[in-house]
Amino acid sequence: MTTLRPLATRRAPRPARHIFGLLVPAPDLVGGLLLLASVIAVGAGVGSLRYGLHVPGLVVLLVGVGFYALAVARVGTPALALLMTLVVAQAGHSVEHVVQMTQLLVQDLPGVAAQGFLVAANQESVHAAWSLGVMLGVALLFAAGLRGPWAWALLAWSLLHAGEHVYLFARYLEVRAEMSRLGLPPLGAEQALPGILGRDGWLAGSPFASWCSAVPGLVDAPRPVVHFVWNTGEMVLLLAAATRWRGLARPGGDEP
Amino acid sequence: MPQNPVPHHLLRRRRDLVRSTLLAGAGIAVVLTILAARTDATTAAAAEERVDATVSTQPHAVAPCTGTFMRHELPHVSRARGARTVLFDSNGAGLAVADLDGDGRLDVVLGDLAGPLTVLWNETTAGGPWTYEAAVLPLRGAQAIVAVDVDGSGRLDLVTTQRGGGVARLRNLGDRTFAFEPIPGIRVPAYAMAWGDLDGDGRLDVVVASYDVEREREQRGGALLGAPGGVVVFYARDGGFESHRLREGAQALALLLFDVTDDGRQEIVVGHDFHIQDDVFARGDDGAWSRLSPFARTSANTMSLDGGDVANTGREALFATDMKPVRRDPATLAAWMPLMQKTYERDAWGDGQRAENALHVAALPHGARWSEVATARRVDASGWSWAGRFGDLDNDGWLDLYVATGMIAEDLFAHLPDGELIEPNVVYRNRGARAPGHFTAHPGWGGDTLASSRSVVLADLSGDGRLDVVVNTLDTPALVFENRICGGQAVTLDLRWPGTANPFAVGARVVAELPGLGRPSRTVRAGAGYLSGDPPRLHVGVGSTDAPVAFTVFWPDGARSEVTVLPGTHAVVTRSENRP
Repeated sequence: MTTLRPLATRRAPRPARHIFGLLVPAPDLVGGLLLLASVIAVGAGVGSLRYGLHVPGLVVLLVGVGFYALAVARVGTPALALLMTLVVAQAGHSVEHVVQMTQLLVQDLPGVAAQGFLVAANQESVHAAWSLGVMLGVALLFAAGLRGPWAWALLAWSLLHAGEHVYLFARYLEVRAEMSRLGLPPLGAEQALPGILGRDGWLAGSPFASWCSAVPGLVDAPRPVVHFVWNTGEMVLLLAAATRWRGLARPGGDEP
Repeated sequence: MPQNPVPHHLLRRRRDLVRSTLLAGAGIAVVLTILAARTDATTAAAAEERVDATVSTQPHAVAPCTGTFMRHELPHVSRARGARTVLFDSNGAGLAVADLDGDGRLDVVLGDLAGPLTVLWNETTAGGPWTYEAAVLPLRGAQAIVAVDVDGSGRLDLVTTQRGGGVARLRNLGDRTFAFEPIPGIRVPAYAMAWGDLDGDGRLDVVVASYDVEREREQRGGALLGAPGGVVVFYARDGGFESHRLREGAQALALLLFDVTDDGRQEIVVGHDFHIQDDVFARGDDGAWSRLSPFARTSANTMSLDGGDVANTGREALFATDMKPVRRDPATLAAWMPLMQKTYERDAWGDGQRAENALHVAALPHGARWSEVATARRVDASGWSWAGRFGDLDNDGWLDLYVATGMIAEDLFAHLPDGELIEPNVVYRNRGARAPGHFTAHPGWGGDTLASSRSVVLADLSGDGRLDVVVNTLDTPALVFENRICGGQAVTLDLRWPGTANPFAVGARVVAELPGLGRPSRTVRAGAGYLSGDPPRLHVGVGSTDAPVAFTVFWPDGARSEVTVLPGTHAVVTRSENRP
């Protein structure tokens, strides 16, 4: 059985590798897999945006992420593969939020039209699954030895983020059930309700609202802004935690 | 020789610090001097125009307090014209409160889309309960109603906007009789209206605005007045009115004359429905109107506009209502979801409009900079809101807020029983000295009816110095919430400017000096809120003081008078042309 060894027990210190260097893990098959993953990702984006193939686009994109994980796993440890997959996937997710903010602020689109690239993915169930997945991934990295202040901050952030999405998903299910009782079909706005934070959120209606209003955005930011911040924060913490982590080597001390 | 214990670089820092402090102090002094000079200049300019005024007073009736409102159902039901209530009959009808028969007591006029006006002649005797005698005036389909002296006769006429039509007038002949007389020169579609001396010639002008979506529906029914809609000013001229169009087309539910620019003149604020940007029109010295954009953020579907000095600073805040649920439970959100979907499909961020109430407060003591603070002050959501009205309901010296809510439209709320969105009216209490101009919902007073409410006037019907709440509803009897809230005392003021074309001093402003409470101001308006006509009677809660209250009256022409009135009295302040 192979296990990762913590830094303290390593025979000799090794220079930290920059995380972006890990994004292109070396030779042979790996390069091909990465290329394939990239082509699939681009194809998914074009299919989704240009031809409205949102669901197939989403599936294809997930396949692309899988290829990427496979490529990294071939040259590194499973932990490295998980980490890099998280980084790449979360980066893609962050791009979605950047696109959404651009649609809202630059293109001045209404909420219903500002859905990012993958319109089909902008659903409470997907958001909840995604944030829970990120949280689970971070927890697994912790199990694999990820440590440090940034790592702890990442774990806390991903927990809170997932909590917000679980709350949103539960609210969505409740509202949807009430809508069904009233004979209303799915409309769309029920997928865009406020959560715990931000304008009209639980906190804004709580007795703590006055105190919380001292923090900009905490009780008055619109939902897209709240989630842009959640994801940007998660991305930053993920990168910070990953670049500080040296326990990514293959068993035996080889460089990945 | 002893060495200097302080290093040179620290000395340099100290010098810099002292220099910076002196510079900052000098800057602040200059700014304060300019502000003071400006205030002095204003005071000096006004002081040159001081005029005498006589005051006659009468003590308020003494009525018991129970801590709540006492609800009265009125013999009037405003209904839609068809068997079903659909858009836009769902918008309901207006009401007005004014002393129409000149007996000093405030009468009530209630509109009905499907029927005639109901007048409740106030028969209350001093110290007795509020009593009235109901009568009918044969004018059907009234929407906005105001009581205003159109021709300077000294009697308040009734002016209405008509369903699918224009403006109608019932001329007050005295002895509780009226004659239907059109107003010469005013022949445009109108939904909302506001009266005031817009050109400073001493006569009352009027601005009207149309609600075009309703007119388009009426057109299909063949009942449209053919003239184009929009926002139109009518200047009073000899023998009639002269029109000046401010904009083509409008979706206006509310109009308010409000001093946005702090120049002592009232601008025209137009509140539009359907995510159309509200308008602010200002009249320049040359008589030309220009459009201003003083508010960074406005309500997206403005239903009502009212002005009130919520922080006793001498300047009014502007409150606009919109539609946003108060409760966030799943059942409420599901009921609202079709409307929320429309907002989701339509509202973009760039135009600064939000589907929620807006409370604009002056960002500085003087000037035309405004901040929108409805969310911070907890008045952003009051449900499907119609009239939002300011008034000091507990006479503690601070303006409270009453918002009428509810909606019936079987074509819009087909998923709800009888097509009705049932919501309670909301009473907000001003937090007063602890947080001036901040509000908390206060259902404990008992004014939160579930009846589908539209227009609201706050006025003292029983003569006890407390503001009662008159509500015209849809499909249920209209309501009066007689105020039995225990609190402080008040002063009520009637301003009279005899011998002029504006004998009720519409547009005048009063500022009270209340030690410990600030300088609350009130403005005489013929109407505000949603389709609501106010009496030309001002109400100022003064708290628990028994000391005489000093008032400065700023008359519509800029002259001012200073009077003193005892708390707990009604005063009639009559301007004389003697200049001290």
